[in-house]
Amino acid sequence: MKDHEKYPEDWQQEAPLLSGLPRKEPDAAPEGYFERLPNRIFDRIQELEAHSQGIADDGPIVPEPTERPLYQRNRFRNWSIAAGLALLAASAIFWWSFPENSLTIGDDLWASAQIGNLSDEAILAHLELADLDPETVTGMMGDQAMAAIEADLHDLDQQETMDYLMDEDWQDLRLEDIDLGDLSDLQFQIEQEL
Amino acid sequence: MPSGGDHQQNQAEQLLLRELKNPRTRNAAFEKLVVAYQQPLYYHIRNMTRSHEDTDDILQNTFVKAWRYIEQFRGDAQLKTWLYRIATNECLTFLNRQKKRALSDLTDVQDNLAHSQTHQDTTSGEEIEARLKAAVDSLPEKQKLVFHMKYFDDLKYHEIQEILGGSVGSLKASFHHAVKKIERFLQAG
Repeated sequence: MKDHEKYPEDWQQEAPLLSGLPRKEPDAAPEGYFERLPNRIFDRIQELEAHSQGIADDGPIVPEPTERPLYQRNRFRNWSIAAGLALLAASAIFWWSFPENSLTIGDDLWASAQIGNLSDEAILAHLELADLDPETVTGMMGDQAMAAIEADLHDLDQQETMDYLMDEDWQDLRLEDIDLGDLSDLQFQIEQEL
Repeated sequence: MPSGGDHQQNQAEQLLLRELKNPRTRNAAFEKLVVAYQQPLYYHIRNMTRSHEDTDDILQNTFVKAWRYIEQFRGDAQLKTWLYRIATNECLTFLNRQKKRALSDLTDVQDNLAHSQTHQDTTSGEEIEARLKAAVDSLPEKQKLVFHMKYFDDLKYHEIQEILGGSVGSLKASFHHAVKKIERFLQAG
């Protein structure tokens, strides 16, 4: 601290009591404090950098407690997953337990791989067992099934058609076994192809 | 830090600042900074907090912040005033926190402190010192800060302006108002 005679005269004149007071350190530091301070500061800096922490301008930072929303809680998530799996299992059981001999043949079922893998003989045998006539069967078929049959017919070329007609099985058929309505329909389709 | 005129001090500060921003010389330069300013900053803080332990904490915080933010320091103010500004802000934060903890007005706390100091059984010199402390504690916040920096820290008005802001004229006015109030307090005995 400087001697009080170096104070500006103007304020000294305004406050003679104050300017006349002896100037000294108001509060002394403990002995050896300033010798130790630089090392203490470096230690503190190294400690803070080691923990990657800083000093906030307004003091230590205390993280705010967070409440996790419902969907993030483990218990809720686990129950949700279990419910989803149960629904999936129920759907699978319902699907696979669909009876094979059901008379309701919709578009989807006809188009399924299960029906598609069956041979024509198997299908005919099934239909005979079910005592179904062709009209009934075609009426039960959905649009997709009929479109598939028509597509097959359109894919037949003339030679294949003739070969089929000349097949000995046809020749062995008895006249009374042949439905003339079927033949006329078949002939009409063949003529269309030709 | 060499004593001398402002020009020499500025040159020395510029050199120290370059060393502080150089990673190779930063540690040695920072030690020079601490040694140069630890005492004036200590008494600047101690005049406001009155406690050595609190002063020690605030002083360490001041230098740690200086270490953290030296890279961002542009050098448009002096290193000295920049350090004083950090220290002053740390003091004000500390005092505000104390005020909230005490759940009472800061003026009331310091008024009580001033009252207790004037009625202690002390010798003449200590009594005068106690009365001066009490008088300063009775000042409004800004006047107290300006008085501390001008009377105890012996800072120039343009340096106080860099620390506290405002105009030199308003700072001179604050100081003179503070001086008159203290004089009246001392005369009241």
